[in-house]
Amino acid sequence: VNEAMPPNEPDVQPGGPADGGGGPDHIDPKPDGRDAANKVAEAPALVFSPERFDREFLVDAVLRHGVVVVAVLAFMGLVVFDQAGTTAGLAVVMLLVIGWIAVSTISAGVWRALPGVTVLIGRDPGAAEAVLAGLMKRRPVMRWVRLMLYHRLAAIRHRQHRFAESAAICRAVLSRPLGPARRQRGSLLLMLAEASLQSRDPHGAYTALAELHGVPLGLAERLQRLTIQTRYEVLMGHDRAAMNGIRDKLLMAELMPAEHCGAMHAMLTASAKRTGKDELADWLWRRSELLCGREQLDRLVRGAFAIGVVGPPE
Amino acid sequence: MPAVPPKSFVPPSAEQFEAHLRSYPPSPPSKWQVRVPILVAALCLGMSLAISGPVSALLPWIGLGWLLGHNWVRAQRAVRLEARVRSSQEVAMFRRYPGALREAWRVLPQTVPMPALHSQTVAMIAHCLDSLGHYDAAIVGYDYLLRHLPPGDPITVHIGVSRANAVLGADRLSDADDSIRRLRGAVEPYRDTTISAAYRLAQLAQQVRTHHFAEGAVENDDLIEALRPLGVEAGYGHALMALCHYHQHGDGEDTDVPTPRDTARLWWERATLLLPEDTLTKRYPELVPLTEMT
Repeated sequence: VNEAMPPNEPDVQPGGPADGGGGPDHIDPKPDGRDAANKVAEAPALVFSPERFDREFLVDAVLRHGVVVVAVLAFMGLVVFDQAGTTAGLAVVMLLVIGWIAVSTISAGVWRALPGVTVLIGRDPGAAEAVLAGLMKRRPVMRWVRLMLYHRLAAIRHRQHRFAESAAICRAVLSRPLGPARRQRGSLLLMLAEASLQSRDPHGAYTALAELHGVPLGLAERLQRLTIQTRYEVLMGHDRAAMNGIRDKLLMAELMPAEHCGAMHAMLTASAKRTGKDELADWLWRRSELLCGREQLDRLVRGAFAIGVVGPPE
Repeated sequence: MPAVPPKSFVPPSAEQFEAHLRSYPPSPPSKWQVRVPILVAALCLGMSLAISGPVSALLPWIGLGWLLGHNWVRAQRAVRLEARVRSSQEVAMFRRYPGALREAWRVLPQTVPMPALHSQTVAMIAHCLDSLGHYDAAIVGYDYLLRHLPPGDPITVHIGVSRANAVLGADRLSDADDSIRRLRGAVEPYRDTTISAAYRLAQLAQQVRTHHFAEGAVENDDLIEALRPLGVEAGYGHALMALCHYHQHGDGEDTDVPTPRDTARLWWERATLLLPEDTLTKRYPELVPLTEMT
């Protein structure tokens, strides 16, 4: 399988891309081979900038608080003009209730559309972005709903391998109080950790990984964290840390999709080799040969721990 | 009578599972049930128009509060249920099937108003039963899902392949033959996925169960690639291929050509690289003779 290099010597180079499993399960056969037509088709409908991000939250806040201010003023007016019990007063109250429901309906509508966007991200990120652009234009929406929209935008950028933008969006979202969107904290930190590794920012990856250890995660997210952390440790030469608890790590790796599992084995092969555990390295490499496809193995040999949607280094 | 699991839970039989499914079919809330909270809120609004005084100003807010509170309670209930189902799935992923099965069995009655979650739970129960070797009971679950899921959906195809594997496990060979043949076209669009890999495993298992070892042995060229999406579970396929070669007879004259025993040993080494021997022989007892080669 591995003609390019001896089985036990996968060349590890910092900056090689990896996917912690946050993305879908297919390998992009030519991630850099997107032709001009595709590039036009993939032209982003949404451009992220911190200024725009802040402005959108400000507009939402002004509109939402505006409704509250109108309500308070209306009540005060009713009391001052002694209209509280009259039909006109009741009409005002009902108008306020209807207005409040209308404002809430916008957020509810956007929130209900989010699962559809999530499904589309896996199938067609371009279409997902178009839908998301439409949802972003709706306002006012609650702060946490807007944060969820940006979370999906980060996922789209991650899927499109635009890691710098993905990291910037994750940082911007995490810098705000998440409220009911806090369930996405783990996902945001995972994307940030991986995007930081992709952007050759090990410090950012370390910070995100450290924070991830304080966040309750589901099994799928724990598996992703394990992959990203192992990749970080291997790339940074922390081989003892990578080899620590290897039995448990392998048990967890076996729960991952085959490509991710194979990449974990290949990464651990590098650490085992460097810590002088040749027999273990050989065993791990033979397993990774069975678990990874030829194309993926070739990339692994080149030091690109590429799994999921992520391709060779640019 | 619903099949209530006893305190010391044992995997249910096919009849118990069937009774459990009959007792708790999915039943989404009717249109009227959905509209009741809105009607109550509208009633409050109407009453506020009909009566006068300070209460009339409060009634619209009471209606609104009721509507929001009702929806919030419903959403919380759905979130809690989803978390329970997800938790049982995670337990199953760790191959702790009895625990996962117990939890999924208990949660099934509560998923009745949510058909998608109900199907997910039934699939979980069937998967656990399949993994525990209770194939007849697992087939009940798979059949139920195949009746209720849209045909052609990837999940339906996946369930169909799982059913074919379970039917083989239950030694219902003619049923398995039908299932595998019927699935051939449906699996075609899912190349290089777990669906096609599980289908290939089913084909191989069928060849072994029907003692067509020679047929199985000649189709080994692309087996590693075909089974790869299964991850470590591809080891089952490698072991079955080893068995196919094990039952071949080489002439032993040409020393440069590997004998069937050598080839069987190679495949068995691959299998045991991915899965322990006892795991392999537990699922396919016919593999026991191969353990001598280790």
